[in-house]
Amino acid sequence: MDMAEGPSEVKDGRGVGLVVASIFGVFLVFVVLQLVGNPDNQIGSLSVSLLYSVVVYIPVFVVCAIALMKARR
Amino acid sequence: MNLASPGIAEVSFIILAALVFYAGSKRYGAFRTGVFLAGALLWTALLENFAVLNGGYTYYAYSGLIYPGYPGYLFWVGMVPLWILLGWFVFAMAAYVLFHDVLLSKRSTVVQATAAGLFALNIDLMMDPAATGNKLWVWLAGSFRTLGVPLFDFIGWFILIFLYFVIVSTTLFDTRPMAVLGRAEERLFGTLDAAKPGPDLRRFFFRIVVLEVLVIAFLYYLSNFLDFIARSVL
Repeated sequence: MDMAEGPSEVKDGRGVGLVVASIFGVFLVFVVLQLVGNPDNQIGSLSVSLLYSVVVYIPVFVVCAIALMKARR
Repeated sequence: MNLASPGIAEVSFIILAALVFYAGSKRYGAFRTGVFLAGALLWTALLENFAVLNGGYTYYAYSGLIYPGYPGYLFWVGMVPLWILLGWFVFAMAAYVLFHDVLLSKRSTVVQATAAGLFALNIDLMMDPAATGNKLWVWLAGSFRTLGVPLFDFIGWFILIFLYFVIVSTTLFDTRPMAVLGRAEERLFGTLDAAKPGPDLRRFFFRIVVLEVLVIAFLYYLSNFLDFIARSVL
């Protein structure tokens, strides 16, 4: 593939906040689903707790936070 | 199982998709965002429906539970709820905005697409076990499960977002050749004018369909291969 350099698109912060909000929204939806639909949080022998959801989503939060900071500069 | 779960998921993802569509429209305009959405729906509807028809998983766990004849979700594309496809759009557009425009704008498309694929995979690591626990979808096949989710699903998430990112980058926002499809496209659509800005809709949908077939074949054989390994080793 000829993948030298990406095109120069709009590089301002328009829409970045909404996109980050939607990714956070996905997290909230599944936290709510864990609470209402899967209170015992048990799948097989492993426990899928809210703690798991939070911990595994930390890299996503970090990426979103950095993107927000860069977009607002 | 809570009977509210499918409703919560369906309504929430329709709202999130509308939010992301609005964000995309602000950045790229309504037309390009609309094409991005149409492509994402096509890109995922084909694969998802194939996987359901092939017995990989089902979305009908809530079928008939809320009231007789109600399939569990309001809107469907074939055998797949619309909100699932809208979810793919949310992740693909979010990853595109974050890695193409903000975080890795000076890097090559392959680097950006790889980061986008890993980002989507990270989201799925949270989402898929929770959805499986709620029976929003139920895995019927697949070996080497982690938290109830088969290994090939995670590989599929990375590949789908990676390739869609590359397709969008090289046809919708710019026009660049893809070596593996270059000759076929040249015969079908003529010489690529790299100086012309995107969107190149013919190449956009051509690449979606061709690469989709390759992805479906790859994941089908990968799943069978992993099953074979699991049967042999475990």
